[in-house]
Amino acid sequence: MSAFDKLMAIRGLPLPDKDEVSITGSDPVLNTHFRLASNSIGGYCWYWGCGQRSLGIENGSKAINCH
Amino acid sequence: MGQRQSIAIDAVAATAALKSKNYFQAKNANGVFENVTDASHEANRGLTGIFQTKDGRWLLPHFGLDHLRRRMLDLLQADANPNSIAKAVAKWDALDLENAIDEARVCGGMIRTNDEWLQEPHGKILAAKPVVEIIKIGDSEPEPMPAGDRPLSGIRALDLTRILAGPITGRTLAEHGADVLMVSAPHLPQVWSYVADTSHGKRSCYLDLRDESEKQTLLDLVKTADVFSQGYRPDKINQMGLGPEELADIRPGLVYVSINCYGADGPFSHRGGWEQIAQIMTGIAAEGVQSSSGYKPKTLPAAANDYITGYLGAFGALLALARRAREGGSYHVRVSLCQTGMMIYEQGKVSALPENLNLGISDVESLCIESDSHLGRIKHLAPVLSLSETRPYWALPTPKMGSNGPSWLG
Repeated sequence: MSAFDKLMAIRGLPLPDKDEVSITGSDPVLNTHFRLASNSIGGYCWYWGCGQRSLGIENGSKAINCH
Repeated sequence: MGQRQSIAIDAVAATAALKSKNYFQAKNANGVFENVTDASHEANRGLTGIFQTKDGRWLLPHFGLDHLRRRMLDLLQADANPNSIAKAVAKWDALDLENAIDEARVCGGMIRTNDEWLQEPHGKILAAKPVVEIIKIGDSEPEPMPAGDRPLSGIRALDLTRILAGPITGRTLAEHGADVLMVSAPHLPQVWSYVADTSHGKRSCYLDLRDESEKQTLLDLVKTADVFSQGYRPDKINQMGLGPEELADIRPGLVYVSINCYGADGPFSHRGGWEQIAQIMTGIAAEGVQSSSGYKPKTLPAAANDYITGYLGAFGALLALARRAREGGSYHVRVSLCQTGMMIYEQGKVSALPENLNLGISDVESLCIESDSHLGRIKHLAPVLSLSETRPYWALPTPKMGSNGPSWLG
């Protein structure tokens, strides 16, 4: 399971549509075999978690709303 | 469902974010940008390394702060240079020294493979938990997110963390509009170059929590806070009377974020730790390097556990705030460097590695921004994510520590 999928499972909501997410580039970026870029992007998944799906503008407020 | 946003992120930028502190620069007397470093911390970092033990294992003693350096050198009966430390470590069996380090309340440990870590009682406990834990610890009425033009407008966060992972959680909340108030005190050790780069968008006040009246001032702030983040060892924060349940009693609906090295449960949970400790415990460092002189464990070229754990703390806080808005409740969010290290390890490795991948300052020039601060003109990494509707930014420059009062904006 990727870092992104693992964190999405914690969020408990479906994955975002592909056209709403743009990820460019890939590992390796630094001098290590570990996938630091992928993990860092996974760490940012809360933008997808409570972000992309739900960091919406609601009643004039860009409020967080996971559902 | 509100209006949806599209999101863009680049692998180079996301990786640069794991070295953000390395890119912080201020103008010198000649008007030229140069790196800001903390000489004391750099000296301590120079001592922190991986050394072989008497039984042929490897061990990393950590010297990250002055008081830790003094205690570690006392324990080892060594001088403050790598050769002396190597000789001292070589007199110990690895686990004996790790236990002595634990008893001395300093930081360090034996390098373990990932298999060894997963056989440890502590590793087993962490492996059974999600990388971000969100635990309901009390009831409260639902609280809609405050109105505002940014995702976290109107959210108030108290940040009692230091060094890297914890401060990144607060900085990430500030990146989206939260009012983040750091609470520290002059007597608490800091790495000043880290403070400079982890405090964008925050304010800073001093409260000496050993003083009852100043502690009461903090508790008064808690009553009107939404998020409280701390990075103390679990036993320490409870001794201070600032545990999650106690604060949730004061402020029903509070989102309490704990950020530490080993997590809240298990035989190692009382231990302190750093980035390198998470790497040596979870098997990352044990992957090592083979050279003509043989095998040696190796740490990562970035503070990946620190930064990613910080992002995950913000992720957990946001999920908990959303749950509070929906159904009410107080929540304890728990993240740890070791959990993050286990996640990194689980993702596996790339097979091919080109040469000269180091992501120096010149490689990230286009990702940096300039701002004016108490340090003068500074240049540093900008938020690395693009959102189509709510551009992430820090509304305030990195503050001088203690320069604000213990109160909220607005």
